[in-house]
Amino acid sequence: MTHPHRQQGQDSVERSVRVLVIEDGEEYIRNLRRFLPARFELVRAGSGGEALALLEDQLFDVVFLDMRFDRVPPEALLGGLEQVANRFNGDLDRAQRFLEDNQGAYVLAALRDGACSLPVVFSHDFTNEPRRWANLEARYAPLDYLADNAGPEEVSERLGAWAEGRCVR
Amino acid sequence: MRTGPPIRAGWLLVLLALGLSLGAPPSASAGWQLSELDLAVLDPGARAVLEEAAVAEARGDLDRAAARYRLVLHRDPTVVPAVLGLGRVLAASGDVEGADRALASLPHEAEVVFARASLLEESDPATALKLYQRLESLALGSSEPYLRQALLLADADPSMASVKLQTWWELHGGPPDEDAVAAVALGLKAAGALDEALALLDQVQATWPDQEEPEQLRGLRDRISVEGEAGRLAAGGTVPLSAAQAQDLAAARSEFAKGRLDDALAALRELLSRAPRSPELWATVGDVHLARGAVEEAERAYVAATTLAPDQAAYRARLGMLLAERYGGRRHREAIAELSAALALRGAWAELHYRLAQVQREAGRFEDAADSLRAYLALEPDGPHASEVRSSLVDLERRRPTAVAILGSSAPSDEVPDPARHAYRVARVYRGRGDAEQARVEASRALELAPDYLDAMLLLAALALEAGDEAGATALYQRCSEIAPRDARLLLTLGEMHQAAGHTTQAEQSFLAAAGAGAPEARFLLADMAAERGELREAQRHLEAYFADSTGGLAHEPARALLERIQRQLRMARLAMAGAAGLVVLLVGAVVVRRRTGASVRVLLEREPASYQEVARLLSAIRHEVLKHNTNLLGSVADRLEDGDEQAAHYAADRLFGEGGEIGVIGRFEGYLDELERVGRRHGMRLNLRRRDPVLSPMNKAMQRLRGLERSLRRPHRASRRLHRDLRVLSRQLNEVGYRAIGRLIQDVSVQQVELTLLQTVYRRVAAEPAMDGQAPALLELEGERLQAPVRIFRKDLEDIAANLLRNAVFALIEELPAAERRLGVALVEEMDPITGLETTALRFRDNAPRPLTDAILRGRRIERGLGLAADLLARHQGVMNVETTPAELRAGWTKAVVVRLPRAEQAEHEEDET
Repeated sequence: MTHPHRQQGQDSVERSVRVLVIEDGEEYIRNLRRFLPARFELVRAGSGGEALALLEDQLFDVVFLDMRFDRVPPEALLGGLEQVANRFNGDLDRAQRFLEDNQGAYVLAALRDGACSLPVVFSHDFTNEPRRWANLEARYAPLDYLADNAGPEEVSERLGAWAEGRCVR
Repeated sequence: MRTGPPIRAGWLLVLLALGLSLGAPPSASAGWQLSELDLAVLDPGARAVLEEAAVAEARGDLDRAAARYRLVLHRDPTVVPAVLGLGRVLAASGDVEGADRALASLPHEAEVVFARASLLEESDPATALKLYQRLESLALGSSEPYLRQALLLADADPSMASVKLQTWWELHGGPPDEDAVAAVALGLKAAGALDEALALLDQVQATWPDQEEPEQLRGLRDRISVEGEAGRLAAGGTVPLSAAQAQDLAAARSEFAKGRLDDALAALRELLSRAPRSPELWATVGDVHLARGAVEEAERAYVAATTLAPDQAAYRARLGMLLAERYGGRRHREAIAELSAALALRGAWAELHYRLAQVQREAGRFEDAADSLRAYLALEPDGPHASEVRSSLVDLERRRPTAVAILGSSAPSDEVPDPARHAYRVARVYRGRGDAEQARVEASRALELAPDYLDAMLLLAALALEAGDEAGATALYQRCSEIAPRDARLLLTLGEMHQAAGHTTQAEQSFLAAAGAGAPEARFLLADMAAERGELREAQRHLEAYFADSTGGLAHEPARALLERIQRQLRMARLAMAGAAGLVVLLVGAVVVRRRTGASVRVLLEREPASYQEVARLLSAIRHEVLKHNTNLLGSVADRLEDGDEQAAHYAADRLFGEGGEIGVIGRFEGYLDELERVGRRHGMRLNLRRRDPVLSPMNKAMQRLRGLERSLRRPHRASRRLHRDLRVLSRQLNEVGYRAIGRLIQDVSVQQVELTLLQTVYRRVAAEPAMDGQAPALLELEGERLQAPVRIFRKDLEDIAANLLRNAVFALIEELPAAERRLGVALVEEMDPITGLETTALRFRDNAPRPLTDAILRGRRIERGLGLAADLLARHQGVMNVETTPAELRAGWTKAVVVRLPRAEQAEHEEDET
């Protein structure tokens, strides 16, 4: 599998790992910067649009993606508010809540549509949604997820494994 | 002012007041009376029998009264009071036909004709109308027949009703009859004669300019004016909203739903300027006004909606309920008209039948209320109001019992001569007429003839008491007690008189005697006196004796309340006697009991499944906002501390315990526990989450232990090695055990398998409803029978959604297609959103009714035909409803599919492996 956005030329296990963290807040970026090893270089995007713009100019090894985006302005949500509202009989409020709750999936779809084939690790627990996970993985691999209770160590291990090609799902 | 000749005013008032309808018994207190003139024309024998009949009627012994009246008429069939009396008692017994026959025997006596016309107003209004017309000549100059004709004609011929009302005015000369004017004006309005209706109201106002216009008429005038104006708008036809306008309306509704009423109203007003002929818009404006408490504006808006769309049941229902609920009952007549009109358009609206019944009952239209309740039961035999409705129907249909036949004479003594008895009866009649003086004269005469006549003596004593002569009354009662020392009622009365006079000892003696003579109420009075003295045990003994002897009566409730109060006081006294130590023990015990009782979240979800959404939201919030980003750092903090990184501890402390006045994660967790307990209380359950909940209690303990580590985390250089271990243990408890336990709790709520067999069962019920009249398609065409899709929804809600959609489709088919062409079907389809991976279960309700139904129409007419109800239920379970038709469906001959989508319920991987 090719990873056009991935860095080249560093073979050490301890080589630096550039992670694009896509979240609407700053909890991940603060926590991960605090607790992840120094070799992880973390760059934050606050929305899908920002993420796509960053991917145009910078190289990353792996994407760490939140699912819920309830702190971005509605106009920044990917997915088309009015289009989604049609599914809810014109109810813009429900459409907005749906987009916020599932924005991570919309961002992922946009990444793949933009020819980004980096591994994406969701920060969302799919343990209780096995069918949904199977549907997403079938369409958007390489894909992974970490549950909400994953600590920084686990996050570090998984991101590193994907960045270094050690992860197979 | 002219007045009518000989309809004797007394009779008219009596008859009008009584309202000769079934179940409206006359009584002495209601005012039936024999005048001196009535009695004077009779021979003494007939007079005595007529008096007996009157007394029997007053006592409620209708059979005896009828027999006595008949006896008089057998002697002389032209005795008007006897004819009227017989008609009255037969009507009160429910024998309207018999009453009619009796009253028809004197067709030329104005009073009798009037009584007959009043009797027949409900059951045979055409005959009643003719009788009132006859009274125009039989009772020349009398105004009443014209008023009655106006009321009878108000709906059928409002123009003629208006003419009759004018004549009534001319003859009556007094202020207008508000109800009659309203009835005629409404009739004119219903007939489309708005100008005539307004002219009538103007005339009332002009004729009595000094009188303030009654609110009912003022409201009616406003309404007619608005309807006229709206009618002019409707002259151009209603104009549905464009797609953009529909979106604006949806946005305004969204503001309304969020409680931003002013913003919603501003948006709606702006939209109205662009779309003034949209009834759905007017209806929404009405809703917002009503929520703001602006009742008059709401009414105007609803009137506009109903005028623009008079065939929309929902708008008429809204207007009807506003009139019923917001005018204190003054506009019930109009409310009934609107609600009835709504039901004429949508007869299977069960809830509305129920509401209409309530309004009818409050308006005194009991027969109509009973009909409405029966209609509700026919539609919803197991509905939410079914039990109450059945009970109400029993009460409404209850017939007046006939009086118990008393065999033989109840006279206590043969020593009372007949003249004395006669004088006593006359005295009672006079007393009933309010003529105390004459009653006293006759009762005294009875006593002169029979000095020990107890009944006459008691009557005199009661008259003395009413006149304020307590001393005289007491003396008489004493004399009575000498004659009948064991008369319980007498002893009770004596006791009350002594008590009122402050003679407590005598009062107690009398009450004790009364209790011994068989008056259990005396025991209650004794208990009351003892309680006042503070002798609680004695009071309790008296009350126990009371309840042993009494099964009901007016004293029952007060006695029960007194007993509870006394028992409470005795308990408190025992507590006080137990002393401070005992009190402490009790308090501690109460605390222990409180700590050891209370339900868990799982029990709440099982017993109150309606709480699921709120509970799930809060549990998810605990997982996402407490555990995620926060406590899941604890393990890493422990590792860093071991490496000497003290800053990690500071970082964690700020997040856990808060900084700069911000509440930390532990505080947030406790806040969520409080919110969960509030949810429990709202659903009638006391939760004990901190000590008894198997999921949250361990997490709470862990949080409290974490709180205990604040000092160590803020000063890690002073912390012991134990801190690292504690952090790891707590991390495991919270982020592994607790996190998974919460996840299971959210998942473990009853899941419904959607199968087409369930829908088949619902359809059979719908097709059998009376409103369907056997015209529903026999076959429900199913597709996807093999599928079983789990969704998270209560079974009853799913059935209600299906029933409403099926019903809606069947009504459309019945209205628009001949029987042979009607088709109805349901398809079960599983869908997956390719972007989010979420799966939904779709039920496609298909029909081939020609009239189109689109999403825009669905949004605009959400309340009509059960679609609104289905949409509301769906929204509660995160479902959605759209109208779609696939090309395949069109090819198969369907014209539309109303598609209901619900999120598919998933099971965790480990559970799926196990199944």
